Amino acid sequence: MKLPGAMKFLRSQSLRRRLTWRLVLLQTITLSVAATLLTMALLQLDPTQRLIDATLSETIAQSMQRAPDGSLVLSPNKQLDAYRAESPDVWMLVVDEAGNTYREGPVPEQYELLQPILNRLWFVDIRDHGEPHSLSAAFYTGETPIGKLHVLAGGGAFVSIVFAGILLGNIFILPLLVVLIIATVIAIPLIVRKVMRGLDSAEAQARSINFDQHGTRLPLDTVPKEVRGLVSAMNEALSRLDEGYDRHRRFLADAAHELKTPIAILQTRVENLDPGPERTRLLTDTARLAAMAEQLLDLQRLAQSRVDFQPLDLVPVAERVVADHAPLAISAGYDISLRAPEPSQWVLGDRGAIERLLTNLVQNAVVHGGNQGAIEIEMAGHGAFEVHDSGPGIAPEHREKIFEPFYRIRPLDRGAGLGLNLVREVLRQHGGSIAVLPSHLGGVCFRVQLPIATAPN
Amino acid sequence: MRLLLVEDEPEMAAALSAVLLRYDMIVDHARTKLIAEEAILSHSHDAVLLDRKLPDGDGIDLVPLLRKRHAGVPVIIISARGSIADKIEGLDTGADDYLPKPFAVEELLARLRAVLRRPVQVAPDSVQLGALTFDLDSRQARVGEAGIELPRRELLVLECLLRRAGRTVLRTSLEDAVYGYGDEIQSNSLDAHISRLRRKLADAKAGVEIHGIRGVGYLIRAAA
Repeated sequence: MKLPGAMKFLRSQSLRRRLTWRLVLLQTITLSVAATLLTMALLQLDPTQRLIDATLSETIAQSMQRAPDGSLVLSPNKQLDAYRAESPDVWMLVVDEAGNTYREGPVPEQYELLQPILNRLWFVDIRDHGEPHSLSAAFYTGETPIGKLHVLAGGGAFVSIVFAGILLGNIFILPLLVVLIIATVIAIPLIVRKVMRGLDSAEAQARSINFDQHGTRLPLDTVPKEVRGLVSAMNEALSRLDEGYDRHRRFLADAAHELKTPIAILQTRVENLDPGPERTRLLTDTARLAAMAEQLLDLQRLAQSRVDFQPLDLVPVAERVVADHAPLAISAGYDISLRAPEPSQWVLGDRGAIERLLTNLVQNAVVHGGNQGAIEIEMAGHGAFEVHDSGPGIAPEHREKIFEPFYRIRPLDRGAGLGLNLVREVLRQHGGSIAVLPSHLGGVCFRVQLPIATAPN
Repeated sequence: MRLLLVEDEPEMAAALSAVLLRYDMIVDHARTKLIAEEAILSHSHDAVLLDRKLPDGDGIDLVPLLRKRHAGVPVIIISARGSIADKIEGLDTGADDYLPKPFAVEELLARLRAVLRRPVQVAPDSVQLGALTFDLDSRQARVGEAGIELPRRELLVLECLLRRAGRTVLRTSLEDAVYGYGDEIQSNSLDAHISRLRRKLADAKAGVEIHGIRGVGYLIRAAA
């Protein structure tokens, strides 16, 4: 449903708008009532009474014409006709400076006496407080196109005292009200903006919360007291989410951990079998299971550990990883080697995480290198290293997606499992990067760049 | 050789005992810390394999007792807890090695050979790989009854590789084993020793192969 403009404004969700218009409304009503009551008190207006509309005598004065002989005549006037229609008893007594007189209707006999002195009076207000208020009269004296006139009139054009009070009161407060409304319209947005500044910082903080960043809470002391409840409820919700996340993570870690025991039993049993192709295949399967459990655990470790960034020499780390994986690589049919032209290559990183990074890239090459040819780890200098294989390679359209967990290039493919995902996570943590390139060995080259560190003395 | 295996999983213990028996190792199995303590006090073993997660506590608590009673007996912790912090904790208590589960039996054997090599203990007197038998006491290599004549440095290389059969031996470790202080090492002399050794082993039909891992080292394993 489409709201008309004004309604939209009034129902606006904006605190600034709502505050502004409600305050303006409140000020207008309060001031009107106060001014009306004050006016009635000051003018001693009794709300149960009626009085003559002061415009009656003025209307009469402005409607007077002068006949050719100089006497006063009343020209027709719609307003006056309306008064006459309302009350047939409308009467009037008009006198000019020259003493010409005009009279109409049942002028109360008591006021006949006033006729000779009417042109000397300056202000008259007569209120008859008994029904039918026949003695109430309104007086006007002032210049008209036919000269100065003095008019006393009554018997009609009654108005209620309350109405008169409202009318009079509001004439006085109107300028004040205008000033107040302007001040309100200017001041409210300024105040609101200032108050909201604390909320803005809470908002910025809330926006910065992401999946990996736990334990963030919104600031309580900078927000207005009124929204503190909301913010602290939000913080409690964040705590509950963190708790749930921790539970979930502990469960995953425990599950990965518990998997290792049956895998260890399985592996030992398989090793007890007589040598043969079946035993070799089973050992490969167990190794895959073991690697997956380890990767799952590594991902959990990575998520919860505070990484310890220190200058680290990549060469011995690579040497150990290659040494550890050489038996596996050789059994799988590869010629594995490490090329380190420089004796050391310093990067800034966490030893455990960098070791896992290298391990997973080497394992990936062993699984996807086509079980023949070479796997080469090359220290490229300046914090970079490359892992080459001579396998089938990776088509450009898959080069981004292989870092997703359990992504498969082909439906029947073994998939990268979690290894490359782990690689990406480690690099994200370290502010490093990885590129997937064609290798000079014919397969794929993973080129990793890590932050460079200077060698410690 | 007699080993004490402290392991709460009966399945794991049975499987490991069966495998180790193939390598002439007799395994005494203790399911809990308490049983293990009794075994440590009443018997003497050549090595102890220690699991950490036991029904009555952490297996590494046994290391001080082992050190007190049998100072020279090597202890290898085998545990599913395999983080770097876990390993450091285990080694800090005085264990000789820390092998995270799951592991290849060959890996365990290699590590056992490495820790048993240290003085004091009775080391296994020979290593068997493929058709090759290597007597560690007399440094004699033979296939069946036929001995293989090898010069000293090639013997040292072979011994070093065989002690860690199935695992990579770093180039630096081989050089340390083969050359003494003051020996001048030609950058390619180790490779020359290896290639001569390969040829001689092949000629003798030893059923083993030496793989080079360029830039890292070498490993020996039974021929596929």
